[in-house]
Amino acid sequence: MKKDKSELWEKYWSGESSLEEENLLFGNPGDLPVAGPEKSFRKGIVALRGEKPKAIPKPYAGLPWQRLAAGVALLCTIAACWWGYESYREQQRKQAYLQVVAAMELIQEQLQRGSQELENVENLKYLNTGADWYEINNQHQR
Amino acid sequence: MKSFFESEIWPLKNKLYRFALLWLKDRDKAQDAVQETLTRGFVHARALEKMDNPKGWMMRTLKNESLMQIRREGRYEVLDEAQVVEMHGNLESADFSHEVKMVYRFLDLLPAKQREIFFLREVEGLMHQEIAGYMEISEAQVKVNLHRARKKLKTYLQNNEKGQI
Repeated sequence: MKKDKSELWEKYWSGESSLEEENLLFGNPGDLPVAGPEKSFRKGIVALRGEKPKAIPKPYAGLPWQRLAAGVALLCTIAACWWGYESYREQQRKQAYLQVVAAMELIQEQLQRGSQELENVENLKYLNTGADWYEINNQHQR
Repeated sequence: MKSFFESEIWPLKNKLYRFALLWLKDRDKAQDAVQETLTRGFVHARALEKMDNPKGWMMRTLKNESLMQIRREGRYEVLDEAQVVEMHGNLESADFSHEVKMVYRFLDLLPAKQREIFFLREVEGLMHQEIAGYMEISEAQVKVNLHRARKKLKTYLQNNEKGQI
C-alpha cells in the first residue's frame, strides 16, 4: 500500500496521474494515509472538497405556481370586471329605452290632447248663426 | 419535468460556492456571491439554454461578482485580478483550518489562470476537457498550466517543510 501511495504521488508530480488516481489521493482521508510534505496539503484539499454552502434558497422557488395563480386571479378579475361592466351597460340601455318610451307616450298624449283642442277651434270657423252657438253650448254641457 | 435551470444550473451550487471561496475566503460572502450568481442564472436561463457553455458563463459571472464584492468593500477603483487578490488576502483571520489556509496561501501565489485550473482539478476533480470547457481554453493549455502549478506546489511544500515559508 505504501509503495502504491508513493507511486501515485510520483505520477501526480510528473503530471501523469489520472483523475481516478487523484481521487484516491484526495478522497476519503482514511483510505490512504500520507506522511511527509504532502500530508498538510492533502488534508487541506480534502477539507476544501467537503466545503458546502448553507441552504441557499432557490431563486424564486415555486414561481411557476405563483405565476399560474396570479394569471388565474388576473383573468378572473378581468372577466368579473367585464361581466359587471356589460351588465351595467345593459341596465343603462334598458333604463334609457324605458325613459324614451315614457317620453314618447307623454308626447303622444300631449299631441292627442292638442289635436282635440284644435278640433274644437276648427269648429269655431263655421259658426255663423246663434243657433250654432246654442248647439255647441249644449254639446259642452252634455 | 425539470426546467433547464433546475437540471443544469442549480446542481452547480456547491462547485460555485467553493469557487467563490477561492476568491473571497469568507463563507458568508461566498454564499452571497453564489446566491447572486444563481439569481442571474435564473433570470437568464433562456439565454443560457442556447449557449454552448452555460457552466462556463456561470463560473465567469461568479468570478466577476466575487471581484466586484472585493472592489466594493475595499473601495478600490481600478485594480487587476492579481492586485485585488493580493490586497484582499486577509486569510489569517478567516475561519479555516491551518491546512486549508496553507492551500489558499499557495493558490494565491499562482497566476490567476493557473490558480483556477489547479483549483478546478484538485478541489472539484474535473477532467481536463471539462476545465477547458469551463475556462474556454484548449485542453493542452490546461495540461501545461496544471503541470506548472504542480511543480510550484512541490517546491512550495518542500520549502514549507524546511520552514522557509
